Amino acid sequence: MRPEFSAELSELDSTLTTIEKVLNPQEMSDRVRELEAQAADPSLWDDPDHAQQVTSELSHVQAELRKITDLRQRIEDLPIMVELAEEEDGDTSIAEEELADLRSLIDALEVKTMLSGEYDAREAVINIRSGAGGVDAADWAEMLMRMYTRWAEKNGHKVDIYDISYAEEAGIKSATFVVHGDYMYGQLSVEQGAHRLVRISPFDNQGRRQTSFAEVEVLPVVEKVDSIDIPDADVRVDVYRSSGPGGQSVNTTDSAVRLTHIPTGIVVTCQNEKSQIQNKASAMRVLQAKLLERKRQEERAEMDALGAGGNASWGNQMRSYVLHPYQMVKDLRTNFEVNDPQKVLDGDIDGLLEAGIRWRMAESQSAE
Amino acid sequence: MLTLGEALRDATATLERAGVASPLVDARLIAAHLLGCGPLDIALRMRDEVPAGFAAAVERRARREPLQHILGTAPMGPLDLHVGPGVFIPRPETEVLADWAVRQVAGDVEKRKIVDLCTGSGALAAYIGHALIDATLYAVELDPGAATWAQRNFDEFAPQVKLIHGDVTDPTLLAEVHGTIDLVVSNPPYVPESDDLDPEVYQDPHMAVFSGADGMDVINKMVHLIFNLLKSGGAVGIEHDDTTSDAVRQVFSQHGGFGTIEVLHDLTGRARFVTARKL
Repeated sequence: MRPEFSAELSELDSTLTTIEKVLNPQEMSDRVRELEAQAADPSLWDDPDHAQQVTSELSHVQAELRKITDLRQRIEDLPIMVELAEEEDGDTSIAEEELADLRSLIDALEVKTMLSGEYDAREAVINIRSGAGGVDAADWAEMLMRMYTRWAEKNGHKVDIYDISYAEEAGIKSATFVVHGDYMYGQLSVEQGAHRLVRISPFDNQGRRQTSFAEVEVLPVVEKVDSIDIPDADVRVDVYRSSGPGGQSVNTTDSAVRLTHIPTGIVVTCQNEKSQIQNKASAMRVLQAKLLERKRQEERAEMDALGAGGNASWGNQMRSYVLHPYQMVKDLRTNFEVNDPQKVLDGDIDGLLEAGIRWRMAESQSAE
Repeated sequence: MLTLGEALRDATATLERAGVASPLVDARLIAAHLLGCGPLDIALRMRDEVPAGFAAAVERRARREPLQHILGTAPMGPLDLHVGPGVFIPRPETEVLADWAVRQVAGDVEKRKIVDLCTGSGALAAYIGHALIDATLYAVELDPGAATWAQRNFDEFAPQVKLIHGDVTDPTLLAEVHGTIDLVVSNPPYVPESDDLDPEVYQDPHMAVFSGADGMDVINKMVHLIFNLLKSGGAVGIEHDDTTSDAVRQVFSQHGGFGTIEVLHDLTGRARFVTARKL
């Protein structure tokens, strides 16, 4: 066996111990018992919404608890596995595999314990806008959108596309979509910023190298507790054929809705629902998310003015994807690198997300 | 091989030449329908193959066959209503009336006896019945051809709706429930007779769209049935033409049996509905 094996194992063991301190399995199993008692109460289903909440929290906590106890068990079993292998034929490759597997599971769990921001548990609204640079930039924006939707698909998170503005030749000028699921905002918010692509342009007859930019904005989905109320009078609604007659005298097939928030000038369009009234409801959700973000920015600016520090300078170039002359994805904040850009563009961004979350955690600690 | 992206571009140009009002949206809706996905989800499939039947569907649309006849459905809130030749295709504005109706009775389980006059495809009754499963609903339609579509939609989306064959200009219709109804909604024929509208409109049944020179024939007559159906304090919401807001309000005020006569606007702020309460 490798001499480093036991050192790595004990490092993993101590990481898991730290995670256990944060997540507190004892507290979790108390909570499971409490919820089980509630779930067993025959009157629970008198209030179906509450019942739903109880049962879904129960299965969530049970699953999380099982994950931690399972990892603890596997860490403890590993030395025995090694011992047996050495006694038998000296082939410890299965134990090595198990170690690597445990490392990635424990690292991922550790990152989850870092998602403790006020909005981290929310679903995420993602906005992608292509930068200057014509068809290449529009194509790049579409590639990024595909990257995130593939990632969501692989991880079992539903995506709802609210709006896409297509570019002339190929690609998209902008897109807005929601990634459903717990902690989507906490995880994906580290993707905010400018993404840069370097490649041989597939749209250039002379095969020249081209640099393209796209801007990614990530917002938490607004919930009732945020009390983002928008008076009707503050919103101008535009639909297709807003001017001229409507109703029975025209057969309208375009159900797109555009909302303009008059006090701020924020414009939101939604066109993915077939129904106009549903497009309006979706657009309102995005508008609320944008207004919440605005409020948060104002609060951050106030804190900065008070000297509380903080690094709110998102929107800078944060990652490079180089397809030519070499192959590399490099995160400029975390220095995390991947040598297989195609895999990343196919949605394999977990490593980048984890590195981003760790970086953010370190930044916020050093700011304190 | 032609990609979906290229086919969409070609289709958009074809439909634009044919005078279709929103060629890109129609092309996308046809593709999304054939692929079984949302209209924007096709953005991620632009390099895929063109789905079978796309060219034929675009050709039908270029001949100005209504898109909803080609797809077989028309959206109404969360519902995809079945429609086809012989029934009026629901328009998006009517969703505003449906939404108003649901909010009228949402808080009060006791107040859910509702009548939809001129139901056509069943749009209003199906929307309301789908949202409020314990509501009692009657839907009235004169045209047996349209009623077949309405029944199909009720079976799928709101099985509690009772479909009544009858004429809303007959004040004795549904006599057994007169004076007991909490809410009447209607999207009656209301377009002034005209021969210069988009060709798609003329593929709706004539009797479902047009209503005399000023578009008021049916509304003028149906007010008596509305009055008879409602109990005191019951509400009515009625859709009308862009040009007839004043005329419809007058019908209710001149009748004498209604108060709280108000204008309801569509999403763009046009006066498109009148609401009132029986005194």
